Amino acid sequence: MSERLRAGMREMSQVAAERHVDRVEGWAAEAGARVRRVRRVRGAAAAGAAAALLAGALVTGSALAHRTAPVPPVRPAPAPSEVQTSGILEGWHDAGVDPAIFGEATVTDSVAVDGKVVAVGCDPGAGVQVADPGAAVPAPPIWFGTADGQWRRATVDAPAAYCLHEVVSTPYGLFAAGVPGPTEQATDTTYYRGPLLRSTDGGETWTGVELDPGEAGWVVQVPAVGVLDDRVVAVTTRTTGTSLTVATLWTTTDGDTWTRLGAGDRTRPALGDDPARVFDGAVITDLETVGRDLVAVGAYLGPPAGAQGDVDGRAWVSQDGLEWQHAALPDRDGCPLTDVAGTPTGALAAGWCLWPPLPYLERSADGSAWQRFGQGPTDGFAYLGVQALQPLGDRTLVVGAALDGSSVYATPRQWMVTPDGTWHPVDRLVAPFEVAGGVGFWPRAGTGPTTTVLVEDAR
Amino acid sequence: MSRQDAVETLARERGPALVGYAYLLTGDLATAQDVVQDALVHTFVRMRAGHDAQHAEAYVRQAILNGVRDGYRRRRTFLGARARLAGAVGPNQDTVAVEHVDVQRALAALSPRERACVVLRHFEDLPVREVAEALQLSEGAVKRYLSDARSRLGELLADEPEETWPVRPAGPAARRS
Repeated sequence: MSERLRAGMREMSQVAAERHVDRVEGWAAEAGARVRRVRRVRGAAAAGAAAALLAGALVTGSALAHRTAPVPPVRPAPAPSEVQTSGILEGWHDAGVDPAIFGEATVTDSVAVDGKVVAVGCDPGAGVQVADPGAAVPAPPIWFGTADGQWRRATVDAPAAYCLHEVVSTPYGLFAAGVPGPTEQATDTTYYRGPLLRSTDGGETWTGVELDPGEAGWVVQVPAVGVLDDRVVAVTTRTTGTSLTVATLWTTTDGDTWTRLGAGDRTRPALGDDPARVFDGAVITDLETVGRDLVAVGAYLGPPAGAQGDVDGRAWVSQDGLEWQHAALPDRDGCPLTDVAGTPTGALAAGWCLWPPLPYLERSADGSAWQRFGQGPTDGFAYLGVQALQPLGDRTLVVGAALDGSSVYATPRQWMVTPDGTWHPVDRLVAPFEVAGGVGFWPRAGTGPTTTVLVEDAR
Repeated sequence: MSRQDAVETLARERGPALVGYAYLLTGDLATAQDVVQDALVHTFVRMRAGHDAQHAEAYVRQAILNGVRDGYRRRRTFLGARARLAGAVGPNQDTVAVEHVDVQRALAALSPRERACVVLRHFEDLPVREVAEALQLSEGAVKRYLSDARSRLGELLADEPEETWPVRPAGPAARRS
């Protein structure tokens, strides 16, 4: 049968091809024209999608909105998985925290401080562009608690921030950053003033930090905050209403007074009046202390601001948080970086390439020179969000999302990368994706309606 | 070579073969043409200029598979109804007349996944593992589809399957036996 079947299929294929040739004229040119039309419409889509992710894609309606692309929404409900599920949660147990404390929000980052864990996250309304007039504005999602299961939502006295994606502990308290949500006054020109929050009592109460009082323009989002010794730095996206600076660097050495590098910084005239020169106009997605240095990762969108669709990964390293040098990043073309995390042996950075659209990891001992680490997925379509990495001992959990062409939805996807660089798909429902101080949170955004707090068995 | 030139070249030089391949998967010439052109657009819109152009056909073939799978998912009801009507309405301008009409009819009797597995395994000569990867199925699922398809084809082509795959028994009773 097999030979007969093969012969039949060969004939069918050949006859169909001949019929195709007979019936079509200009079919090839039409295909090319369709590509051109689609690319014209979606010309900045690839760069925009990366920019949206890189800049904290949940900002809509901000000054970035004009070049953000429709990043595929993540499927809201989990689907059965055929990947490995065993062993991932060994050593963890449920802390028994009431899921209602987290509601439908998702934890995105956490930090351990003074025996407590402070977590920040995104409310399900993240990305909502305009608040309903008169609607209650939710407080920014911040929680604090302990490994014994005592958790509460923090008190926040600040403009609403729907999505926080970073919290760091500094000598001047805790700082949390993210993307803003609507305020009560939707017509206010300060509508999208970005959130940088500070807590000086271990995360129980928070207040907003106004970076640039009295100056023209405003901060629309704060993609990253980092700390190096006594210096705290924050990267913001800032607009004056007519122009946008995607990576403005701010710094403080007392937690109260913030200085914007570049414009106004007369001690560093080489930077001129263009704060974007600090990072050459690139988007910064994350900051991380690595050894004695501070590392920044992100992407260069190409001149002007991604119009060519070229998005290249970039990494910088700084010894003082003020002067930044390019790190050696050999495999950067078309591959933006979205996250960086410290590891016992240095640092890992995660990103995803525009083509083939697949995730990858870079490894560095000190942040100054990077090398591709392991072989990520080689087929399918997957990208990584802003929070992509979670070191778990000598392994690393990589969180992303994938498109298989069968749906407009992206499917949450997770891999566990072992020390030899091998990527193992893991069930997204059973891996804690955010861990600090022996406390883990799962599932990841889009994979379930509630957050469960996990505690390491030894605690 | 610009992206547009590249897609036109590929469509011109390899388009008929790709349509033939898609026809095996879909059983309908017009659908096959649509699927291939969508796959070309899907691939070249996302492809960076000069990047991996030499491998474009492989990406297009995968996009064809994705498109067929997606299309079948959406149009399964329609296709099922049309298949039942096919004998009544007779040949139309899209009919691909072949000598191996028995093979054509036998393939038409398979489910979309069975058909895709058979095409990839016996036309593309892919090993089961690669068939599973291409269709994003487990190897066990592919073996089951192939086994079922061969049984069906064996009946329709009045022949016995030459190749069998061990399929994990299902259910407690089977496991006990």
